[in-house]
Amino acid sequence: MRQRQHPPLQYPHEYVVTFDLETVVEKEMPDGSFPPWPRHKPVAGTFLTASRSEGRYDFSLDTFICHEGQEAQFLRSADALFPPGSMAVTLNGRGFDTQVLRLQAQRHALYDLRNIARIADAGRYDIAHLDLLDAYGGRGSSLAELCAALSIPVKTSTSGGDVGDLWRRGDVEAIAKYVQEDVLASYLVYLHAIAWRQGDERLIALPLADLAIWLEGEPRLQHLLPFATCGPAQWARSRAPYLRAEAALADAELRLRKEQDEAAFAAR
Amino acid sequence: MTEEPVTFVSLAVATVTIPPANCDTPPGTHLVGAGLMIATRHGSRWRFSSEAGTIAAGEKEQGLLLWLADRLPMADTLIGWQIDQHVVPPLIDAAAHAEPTIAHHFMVRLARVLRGNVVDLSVDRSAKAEDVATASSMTPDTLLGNWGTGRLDAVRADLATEAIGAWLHFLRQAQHVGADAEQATRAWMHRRSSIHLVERAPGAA
Repeated sequence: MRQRQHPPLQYPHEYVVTFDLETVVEKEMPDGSFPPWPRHKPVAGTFLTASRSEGRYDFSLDTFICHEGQEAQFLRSADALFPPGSMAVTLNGRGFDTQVLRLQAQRHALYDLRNIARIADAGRYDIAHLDLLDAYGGRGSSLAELCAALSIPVKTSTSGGDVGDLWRRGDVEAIAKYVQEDVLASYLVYLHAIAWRQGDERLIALPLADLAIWLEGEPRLQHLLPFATCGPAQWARSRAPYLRAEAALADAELRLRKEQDEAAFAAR
Repeated sequence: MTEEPVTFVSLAVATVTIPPANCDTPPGTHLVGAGLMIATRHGSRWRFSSEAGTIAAGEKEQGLLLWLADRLPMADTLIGWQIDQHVVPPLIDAAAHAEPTIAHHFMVRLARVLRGNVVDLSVDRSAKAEDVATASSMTPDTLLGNWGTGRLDAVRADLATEAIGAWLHFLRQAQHVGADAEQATRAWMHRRSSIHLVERAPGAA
């Protein structure tokens, strides 16, 4: 894949999969530091798919739990969610999540997982994968810090350091909720990044308004409702009706001009 | 220096879902009515007006768009319930099927009213639908029944009630800031209902 040397002028936003993994290690580091990424094994992953059709965004949220012996199934399920042409979005995925997926796929001899290969091999400025740490300059920009600055709710139920304990206690529901919250938060950060990059408020207001409506209509996702009513979502839901009307007005202008042109032509 | 008037518009729409004529076509959603409550503050004085319009079965939606376009004012704030999912989409859809001149005329006015502050009362988690949509007959089945049997007066009355209900809910959310406006609105509603009672009294002209 061609490696870009600069951020692309336009990211694809028609089909975006934002994801995050929760992992455990066999043995924690004696000094309490974060173990090297090759030692991590995924125990849960959440994938938020946002696709656009006919002016509206559709969403699906898939969470997979990876018990001992289910690694191949977990990796295959993950791979299937990144079709060619889609863009993966992560926070620190270039240095961690995609690398963990690739190494685990190699460990289990799953060399046909070409979608994971594509996003794991993507360079810093490829459009197959956008790492939000690259979009926000890396150092010092954690998800919690970015979300705090952007009024995005995050890490309300647990924290990343708790995942090992939760897994050993068998509390997979808490892990699933936690990783889902992180993914929703990452998606909201991504919307800010892409709208800013392209200087187009529609790229955040319309998907975020649609996301809020979708979350409110999904009883199983009630724990994610803060993302439908947070500051950015309220702004998006207030702004989206005008942006939709503006697009419809442009269509109406086009139709009117066409009708006038046809009338002028017929009168000649 | 004179204070500029500030205009609030509460907008409600009614749609019905028509079952498909055959299995191959999806059910169609039709815009059948719209209700408006317009409140204008000029200094310490309030002026109110409320109207609702409907189309009968067989009439084109564009007739309602023309009616609404002529009444939508330049608004500082638009108020409604589920504006982005239930108010704006049927209006845009109706415009997409209207004659180009009418569609353009209507969309200019709709875009203008949405450009300002838009308050969707459904986004406030403390609000419940029944607090806002005070007309029980706005449920889909009852609405379809009223509209389908030509009881358009009932549909218009319910649309006006819903628009006024949203306005009053908006004022209650504003608490003490909205107290004067709520008092003025209720006084206006009382005067209006008195006029209607006189109009309906036996022997009234």
